[in-house]
Amino acid sequence: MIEAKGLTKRYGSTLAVDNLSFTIEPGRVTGFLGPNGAGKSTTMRLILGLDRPTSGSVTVNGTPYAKHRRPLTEVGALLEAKAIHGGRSAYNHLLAIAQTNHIDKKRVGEVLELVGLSARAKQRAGNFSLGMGQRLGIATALLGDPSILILDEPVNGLDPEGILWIRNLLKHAAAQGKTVFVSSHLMSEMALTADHLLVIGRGRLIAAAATSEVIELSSGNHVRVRTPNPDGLTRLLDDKGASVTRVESDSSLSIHGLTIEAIGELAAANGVILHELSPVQASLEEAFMELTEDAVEYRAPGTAGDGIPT
Amino acid sequence: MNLALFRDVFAAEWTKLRSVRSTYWCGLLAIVVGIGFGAAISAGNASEYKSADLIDKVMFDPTALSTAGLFFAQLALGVMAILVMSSEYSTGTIRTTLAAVPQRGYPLAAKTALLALIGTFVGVGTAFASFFVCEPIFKHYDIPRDVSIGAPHVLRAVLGAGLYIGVMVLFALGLAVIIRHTAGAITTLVGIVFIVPIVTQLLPDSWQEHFSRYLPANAGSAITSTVHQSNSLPPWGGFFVFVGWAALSLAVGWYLLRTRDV
Repeated sequence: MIEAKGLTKRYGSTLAVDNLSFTIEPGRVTGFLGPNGAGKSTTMRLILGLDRPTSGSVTVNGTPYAKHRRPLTEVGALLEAKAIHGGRSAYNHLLAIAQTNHIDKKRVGEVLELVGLSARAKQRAGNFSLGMGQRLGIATALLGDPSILILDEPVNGLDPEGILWIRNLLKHAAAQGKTVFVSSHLMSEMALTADHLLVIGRGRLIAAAATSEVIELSSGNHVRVRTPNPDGLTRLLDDKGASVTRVESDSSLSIHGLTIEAIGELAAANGVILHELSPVQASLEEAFMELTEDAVEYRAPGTAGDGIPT
Repeated sequence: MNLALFRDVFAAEWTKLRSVRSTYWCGLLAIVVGIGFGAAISAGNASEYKSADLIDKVMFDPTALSTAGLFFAQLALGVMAILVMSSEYSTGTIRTTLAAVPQRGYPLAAKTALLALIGTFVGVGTAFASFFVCEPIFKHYDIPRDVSIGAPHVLRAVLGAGLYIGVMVLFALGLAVIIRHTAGAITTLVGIVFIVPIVTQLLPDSWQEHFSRYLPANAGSAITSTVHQSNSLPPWGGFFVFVGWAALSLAVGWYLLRTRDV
């Protein structure tokens, strides 16, 4: 469990994180979304006590991070790929980190095995690819077998097989009751991995809701209709207050503001023939773009979805 | 102070230090340069002793010459100490280190203890090795001095030359914590140790008396002489002024490390 209350970080005149309050619950994958520069990495550094908040506070498992005696057994973090001395081997890199938290040497071999780096463990890490660097970073996060995982862009630089591996790893960790907090700019990946989303823009909270809820509330959701009588149907829909857009490419209608049932019943009651009546769901990407395009205009909502325009 | 935590962090810092090549290169360079330059400087000065002025003969200090190579060796070990800290910043591992040990004084204390041990060990070892390599050189040139480890002040001067290195690496470590960049820290170290003393020699004598001899390298190297120089501090007095410089450098670094974002 990660709890932030009024978390604020100012660098000079820039407000990187602006009065963020949130709770990251255990037992699910929480995706952390926001455009570049929204304050995601800063928020993660604040959680880990690497940066000091200007005001507000954040705790992990009920205690500020820096107060934990062996923090790696509580929180495992991946902040940047390839944060390793190029001349040091992956094994020695992990061994040094393990020693600081009195973690058994055996565990180093285990996590190397787990991330698939055993064969390269004794080589100088300077030759590692970005993907291998990510795997090493994830090995670092797993070292203390923590109950909280904080990963900043973990799929960056990974091949499709690696991405699938991460996805399963995160879901498995959440299923075990761990708190999993993961940032990404890949919406499609988040839609597949995250159960819950925390969306921020310009340092402020825009939405905190279930992934499915965020997509549902998007204005990208609409109903697609094809009919031989578009003018007639449009008139009927207008009367009901729906907004109708003619899609020129295939002369279909794109309808917002009425449920698919209401549209079908309306057409039947007025004898309008329909060739197609189908729901179109927005992608998380569309929902995200819509949420963040005017990020600065929205106040931080107290409850899920408040900040989502409809 | 939590001793168990210190032991764990010390073990980790030792793992880090022994697992990169630069440690061995810097150490080897320090030993080779320390002994090699010491022998060359001793041989050069000893061969010219007979033709020297009276004042130069009076001030002739075989012990100080035999350990003069350490003046150059200090740079190699200073670079080792700087890299211990600055490489954490250049590679980003400082975040991993401080996330693993949020009690930020501990990683710095462990680095300090480790480098003090290695710097003193290599420094004292190189100083004695250099002295014993140079001893026969002075005998060969018939220098009319008792050039042996049992002669007055000689043991103190040789040991002091080694201890000087142990303190210098800590001064360098402090600079690296403050500056956080390898090149910047090395440049600053070279400036303070090699450039500033030369520049201050251009100052009037009265300035030198009040200023130059308190500079880190000048104060610290007073202990390496067996012949008292009029413009330098007494041996141990100078040494402790130098220890003060190293302590100041580390204290400022410690304060900044605790308060800065990483």
